[in-house]
Amino acid sequence: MNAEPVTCAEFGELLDHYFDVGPVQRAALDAHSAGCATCRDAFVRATEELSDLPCRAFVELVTDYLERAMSARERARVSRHLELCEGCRSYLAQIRTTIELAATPAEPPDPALRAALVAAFRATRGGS
Amino acid sequence: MTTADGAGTREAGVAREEAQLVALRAGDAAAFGELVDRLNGSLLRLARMYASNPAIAEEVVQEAWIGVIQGLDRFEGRSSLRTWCSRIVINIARTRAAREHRQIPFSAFDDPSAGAEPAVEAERFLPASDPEWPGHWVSYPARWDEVPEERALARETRDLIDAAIADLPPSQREVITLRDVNGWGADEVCNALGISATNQRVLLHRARARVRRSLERHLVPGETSMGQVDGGTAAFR
Repeated sequence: MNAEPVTCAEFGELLDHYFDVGPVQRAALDAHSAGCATCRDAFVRATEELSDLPCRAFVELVTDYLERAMSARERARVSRHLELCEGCRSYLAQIRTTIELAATPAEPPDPALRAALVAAFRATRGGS
Repeated sequence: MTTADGAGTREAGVAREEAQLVALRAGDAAAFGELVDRLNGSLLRLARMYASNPAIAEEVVQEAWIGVIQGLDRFEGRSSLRTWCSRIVINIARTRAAREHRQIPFSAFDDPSAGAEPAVEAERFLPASDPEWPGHWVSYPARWDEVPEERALARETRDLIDAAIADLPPSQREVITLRDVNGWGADEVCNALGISATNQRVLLHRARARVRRSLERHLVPGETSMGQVDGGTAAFR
């Protein structure tokens, strides 16, 4: 399950995505920053910036987040906030439940209506 | 023909649609029956948003089906069959509603910022002047996964959601009905309603936030009044 070691350049590129990547890639990033003071400092600065998102702003970003309509940086900021904030995780879960509960399977057509429509189709376009 | 950039599933969907369209144009009544099975329910739901009563919604959908039968040769396949059929329903429903001089949804001309309200009541957050946690939750929203499933799936909850959606401003109602109730994609909704992607997102955001608030009042009575952070979920254990 060990990922390839990452270079400083790769670390810099993946920094914004730290909270979006999977556990294996994240472990590789952690391993790199454990041994590299420069990248560790860059990481600390970036996460401070990232975690500066009040819940009140988060709730207005939820739809853009779910619709994937935000920049990688903004997305990382939201993901970071979610890691830190139990309240916003609950809020996001509530929104997801709202979406799920709103979904309703469409009713099948009334058989008489269906038959009448198919007959109308035949009368207009059938017989070819 | 240009198709949206997309995954294989979308391409498979396009191929299926093309096959269905060829069959329909060739007068294949079975293919038409399948189309009715697939779309009638969601078209009816769409029509109900504009109709003053369910019987009128049914008439609108029937009229739309006749329009589909007659218009198949004019349909160029630039949108999906579902989008095209929906537009026919929307046109007929809007024309009828206008004839009856009723207010009708017209999201294309709505200013999405009109009637803006925060997704969550301002008093649920600490003030900007709070020295430690400005703008953070006063008390966390409850975990709905601890609400008994029977309650979440009860008829009562369904009715509540329907009522909450019916109460929305018309353009929000259109978008949430197509997106979340019918399960359409964002592109399709923009297409059917003739609105921009941004407008669609803003309307969806407002609509979901309002429906969530209604659900919260129903699933977690007393939640909107302030409680302490860890006391919030104890009520329905």
